[in-house]
Amino acid sequence: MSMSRNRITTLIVGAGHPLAELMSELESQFSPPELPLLGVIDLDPEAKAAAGQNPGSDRISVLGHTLEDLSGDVAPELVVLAGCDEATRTALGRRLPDSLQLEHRSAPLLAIVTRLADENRALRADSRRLKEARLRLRQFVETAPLSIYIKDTDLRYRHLNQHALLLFGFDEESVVGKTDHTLFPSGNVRWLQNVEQETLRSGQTHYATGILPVRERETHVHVTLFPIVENQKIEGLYGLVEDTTDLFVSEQKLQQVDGQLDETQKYLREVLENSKDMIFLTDPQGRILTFNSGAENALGYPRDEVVGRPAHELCSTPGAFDKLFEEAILDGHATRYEAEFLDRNGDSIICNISLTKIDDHQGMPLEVVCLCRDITTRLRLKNDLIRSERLAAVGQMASGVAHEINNPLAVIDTIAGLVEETLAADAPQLAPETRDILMKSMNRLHYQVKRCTSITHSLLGFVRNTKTGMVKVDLEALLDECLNVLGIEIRRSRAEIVRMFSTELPTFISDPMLLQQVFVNLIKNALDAIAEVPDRAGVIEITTSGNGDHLTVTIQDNGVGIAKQEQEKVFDLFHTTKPAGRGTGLGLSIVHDILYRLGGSVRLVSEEGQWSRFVIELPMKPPETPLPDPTSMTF
Amino acid sequence: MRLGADPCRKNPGMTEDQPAIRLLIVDDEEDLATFLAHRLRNRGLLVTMALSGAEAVSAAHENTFDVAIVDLKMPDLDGITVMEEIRNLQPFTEILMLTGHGSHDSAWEAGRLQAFRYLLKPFDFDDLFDLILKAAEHRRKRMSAKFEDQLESLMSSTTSPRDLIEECEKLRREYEQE
Repeated sequence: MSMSRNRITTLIVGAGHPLAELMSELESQFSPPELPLLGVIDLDPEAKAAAGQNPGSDRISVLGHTLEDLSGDVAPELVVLAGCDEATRTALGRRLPDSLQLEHRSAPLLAIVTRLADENRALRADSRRLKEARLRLRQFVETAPLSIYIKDTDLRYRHLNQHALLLFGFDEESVVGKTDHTLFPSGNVRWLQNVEQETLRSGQTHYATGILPVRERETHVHVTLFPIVENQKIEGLYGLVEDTTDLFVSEQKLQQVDGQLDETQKYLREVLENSKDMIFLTDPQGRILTFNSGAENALGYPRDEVVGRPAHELCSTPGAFDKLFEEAILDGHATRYEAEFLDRNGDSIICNISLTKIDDHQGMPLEVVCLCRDITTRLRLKNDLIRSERLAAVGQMASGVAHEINNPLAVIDTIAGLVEETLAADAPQLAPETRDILMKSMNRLHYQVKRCTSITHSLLGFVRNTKTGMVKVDLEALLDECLNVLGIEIRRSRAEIVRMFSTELPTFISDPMLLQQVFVNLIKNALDAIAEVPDRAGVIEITTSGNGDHLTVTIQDNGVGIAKQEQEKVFDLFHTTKPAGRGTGLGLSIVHDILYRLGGSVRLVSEEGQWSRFVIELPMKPPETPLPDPTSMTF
Repeated sequence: MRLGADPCRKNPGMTEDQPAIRLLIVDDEEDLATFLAHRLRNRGLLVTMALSGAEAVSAAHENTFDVAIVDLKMPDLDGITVMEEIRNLQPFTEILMLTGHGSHDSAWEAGRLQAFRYLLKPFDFDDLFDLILKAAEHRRKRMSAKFEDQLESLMSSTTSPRDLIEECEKLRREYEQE
């Protein structure tokens, strides 16, 4: 067999060559292992002569091989003819099989042999390298951390490497020659079979992914299939099997994590969406990206209308928002306690605003989260409280002063009356002009004392710690009573009173005496406002409405109205816009104070020169714990 | 036409057989007491002035009054105490309380129940005069009602006719003195 790995060269030597000499020469030059490579056929003169007629003749002298050998099992790969004339070559050519390659060389015999020996040596080295390569390849196939199998065209296993055997859990003997069908009778391997058949049919590389029911567990595999082609014929296929079970499990885990992530995202989205606070996202340029329903409700804009617009358009002072936004971009976060937004109707909404920048993974600003809490109501309540406290402090001082002034006023008024009476009784002794001017003076003195009195008595009204008599109140009846009280003033002003009372208002619990003071003050105020626009027919509109929670009364007049900058101050103590001697600056302060104590509130909306509207809200029940009574202290 | 609107009428609201109203003015504000007394005397009232709570109480020991005008706030005794003292001595005297202060504390409340009326300073003189007349009339009615009550209870008692006449005479004297 070792011979078959080398090229067998047969040298046919023509007549007249000294063979014995050659042999000894060869033995001296070549080591014995190299010699058998060379078969030498010597054609002696007779044989050479008879070669054409009798090839099997014994006269052909043979060294190593006979001529017949050349067509036998050990047929050489190359036959070199040395020193043969053309007739001999032709004759030999006829006798030797066509498959033999005949080569004629005409160099000296020794040179030819030496040359052939060299060629053989080179060939042997190649063969060794090839052998090593095959060994290495085999080693690789056997030890690679990859399962490799070979199947024949009937899809029977012909070979499996160690890894594959380990994967399948079989030894080689029990696998080779079997199909998957017999190996895995319980499992479904149809998916592999189909692709294998396709590979055999098409001669193309194919891939398949599926589950092999090996070693009693489901093993996820990815198989690469490519055909074995020999002599342009598909003889079978290679299968490279990757165990992807771990990958599959990780993927499943990943999917699970993804799912959890989705859940979290959904949850966060819901929190964002359902929050009553206004939440919106902007890009780093301040353009709105999303807008939650809290923002939709508070501002009255549908989402579609604001997305893409600059967020500062929603603010009353865009510049202030921009400044805050810049701060957030620079520092990552920015807050402001009171920022004013404008809703769709242009009404102001005071918000506590907080901006937070979110960076992308490269540290570049990605978006800004804007969180805004509507504190309009809270702020109003706070202002109410501040105002009430201020009223309390000023009121207490004022009532103290009023008390001190009341005594001297009483003296002045009494003396004025005495002078008046004396004048009337003793008139004849005075010149009529003197008497008239003195009478008139006393009259004015009375008037001025009354003016002072109206102030001091109003001031004392603050301190009147009325034991609030909480009873059921019928709002409509109460308002009508107030209109009755003011009957003379209303008729004098010729104002038209429009009553728009809700028909089905429930009775509520409050203090009717205090409420009467509130409504009388407000209607008086409306009459005064109307009086300042004499050429317009005065109208006072009184409406009532209610929901289950509170009642609302509005009192609107078409009088002089109040300038925007004055509106804030109307409830302040001693603040009046009425002409000197007409208003004390106390009425609305008292209204505010009383409503605050009853757990209600009053607001003013007005258009200068056009109209004013007071909106009074009253709770269905007074507050459980009485609000701090700012005027409970007495002097 | 309001009573007292004509300053020349010396004693309006009084009939011939009724004696002048006996009035006590109690106020530490001397100017007010003086001029108020002057004007009310001009209208025919018998006015006594007291410039402190103590003066008022001693005045009530000496004389009977139909009506007393009492300032609520005085340095020595407050108006409520003065009112109670006078009432102890003279249960039928009507009190008009005067105050420069609007506060309603508990004393105020208590006083309000006992006093005939409260008046906030500065007051309208004619209103005050009107109230004095009403208070005096009220006192008279209360007294006669009480007199009749007592008389009736005497009549229905079992005392002898002689005792009865004596008792009636005693009662009459008592009320006449008042």
